[in-house]
Parts: sequence; C-alpha cells; structure tokens
Amino acid sequence: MTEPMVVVVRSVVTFLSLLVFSRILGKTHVAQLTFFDWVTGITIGSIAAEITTDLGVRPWPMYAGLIAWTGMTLLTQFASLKNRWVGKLLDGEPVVVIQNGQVLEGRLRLLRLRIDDLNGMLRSQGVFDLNEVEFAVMEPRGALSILKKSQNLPVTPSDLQIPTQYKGLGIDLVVDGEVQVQNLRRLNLNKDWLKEQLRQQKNIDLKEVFLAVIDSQGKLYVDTHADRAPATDDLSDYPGPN
Amino acid sequence: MKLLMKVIFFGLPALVLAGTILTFNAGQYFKRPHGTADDVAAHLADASGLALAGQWEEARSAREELEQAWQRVRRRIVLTSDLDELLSFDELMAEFQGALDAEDKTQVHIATRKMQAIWDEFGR
Repeated sequence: MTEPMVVVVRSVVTFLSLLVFSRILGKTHVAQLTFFDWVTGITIGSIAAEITTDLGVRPWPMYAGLIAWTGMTLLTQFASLKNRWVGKLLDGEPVVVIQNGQVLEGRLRLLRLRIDDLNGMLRSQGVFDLNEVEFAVMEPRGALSILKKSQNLPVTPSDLQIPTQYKGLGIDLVVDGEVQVQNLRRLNLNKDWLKEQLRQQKNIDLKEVFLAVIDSQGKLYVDTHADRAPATDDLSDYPGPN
Repeated sequence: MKLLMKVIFFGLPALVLAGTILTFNAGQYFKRPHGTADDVAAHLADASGLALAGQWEEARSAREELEQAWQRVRRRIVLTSDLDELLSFDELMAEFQGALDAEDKTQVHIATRKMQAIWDEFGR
C-alpha cells in the first residue's frame, strides 16, 4: 500500500468514525456551544486530522485519544444533565447585565465584555435604545436575552382580547416533487385527496408541484417547479457570474 | 422494516467503530509471517548468523531474501505503523548491506540489534 493510499484509507475510516462520534455527542448547534464545547470540538477535529495525514504516528494511540475525548465530552454532558451543580460548574450561569434599566458595569467586567459589545448585541436583537430595556441576561452559551420594558413590548392578540385559532406545525406533503406518503398516511389522507385539493385550491397538477405543505387549518402552501419571479426582482446589479 | 432500520441505525456505527479499532490494532497480525518467504525475523537471524560466521557470500544472498520478505511485510503493516519506523527499518537494511559489503562483523552486530529492536516494536 503506497503512502497516498494509506492517507486515503485513514481518511475514510476517520471520517466515518467522526460522523458516528458527532451523532453520539448530539445535535447541539454551533451557536449554542459553550467555549469549552467549542474547544473540545476543535481538539477532536485536530486529533482526527492528525490520524488522517500524519503518517509519522501510529494510528491506534491517536484513535484511542479520539475515543477518550469523545467519551469525556459525553460524560460531561451526562453529568451536566444529571447534576445541576456540575452543570453550573461546567457551563456557568446566566448573568444579569442590565437590571431595571441599569447597566451593571461590574458584571460586564466579570464577563470581560465591553459596553460596545453589549450595545452591539442589543442592536442585533433589534434594540437601538437602552431606555427600552428592563432586563438583559447573558446566557452561558453566549446569547443575550432581553426583556423590554412593558411599554415597549409589542401588542399581542391576547392583550387586545382577540380570539385566535390554534396554529400547529405544517406538514410536508410533497418535497422536491416527491409525495410524502407516510405523512399523508399519518393524516389519514391519500394521494387522490392531495391531487383533488391541488386541483381545487390551486388549479394545478401534482406533477407540477415542487413543495406542498399543509397547515393546521388544512390550507395548502404550494410551490411549483416553474418559477414565475419577475425579472425586476433580480437583485444582481452587475454583469458577470451570479 | 422498523427493526431493519434500527439494526442499520445502531449496527452500522457499531460496525464502523469495531472495524476501525480492529484494523488499527491488527499490526501484530499483519506482521506475522504467512510462510517462509515473508518471515523477516528468521531471514534476519539467518543473514546475521552467516555473516558472523564469516560466510559473507551466503550472508549477502540471505540478505536479498530478507529484503524481499521485508518488502512483502512492509506493504501489509504500512496502515497500522508509524512511517518513521518503516523508514528507519529501510535505512537499517541499507546499513546492514553496507556492513556485509565491508565484511565488518561489528557493524553487522550493530545493524542486526537495531533491526531487531525496531522489528519488535512493529504492531505494538
């Protein structure tokens, strides 16, 4: 086996292993990672890369390291779930940075956060005026949660005592032109019903449909393969590749 | 169908991990001779013994067989070994040949010991 071939085999094996380990470690979104999670992820990735391309090391000890890091990460995840104290120790706690409209500078220093950073985070949440904020909490995973003053909160139907209808999740009936038979079955419907509804509600044939979603009121959202966007909506403003 | 999906969902990852661990730990198995043609340790002992007995011509021909055996095994253990160790063994093969060409028993001793030490480490 030549050296490039060894790299290819090691790559395939490590890639598949990493896929399995990632699935074991869960579905946490990158934006929800703590700093520690992030560092752990990078370490696991680095070990995997080293197994793949560094032929100057035996793969097994490195692979054992990969298993150990994944195991430790899994262990800390379980420990955080099972024990609140451990969870606080590993992930930290939410920290109030604005209380009753007052910015708490001491807490900002503790978080090594500048007032400019805080302002930026507020703006990214659509708050451009500090007067609107009652509470702001820095979450352990780096997000800023904001509670606006009651006079700045948007009015909801319940404030106006307007009755609303239940709104559940939409269910895909056609995806990429393919009828989702199991979803139809879950709703006690069938393909004939779908064809009929498409004809009645949208006056189109099933073959033309790219995406069809049914909402909790039984209303269909339908997108067809043929796009009819007018040329005036093209955002490209220069000639060349798009 | 549900059972099959479950078997695939849990069985496939388990198979991947088990296969990887087995392959990466199979160095000792790959190193083991499958006949006399790829018995590196035996050929090394032969070549070295002949050289130390002063039978230089026979020792050189035994070294040729050692080289062929090593090339056979090298291909098998390359996946589970450290490349630096493989290259060291290659260098020591050349050193051994040099010692035979110079008919220098001291150098034969040194090269043999070094090769034995590295050979023992393969697959661990």
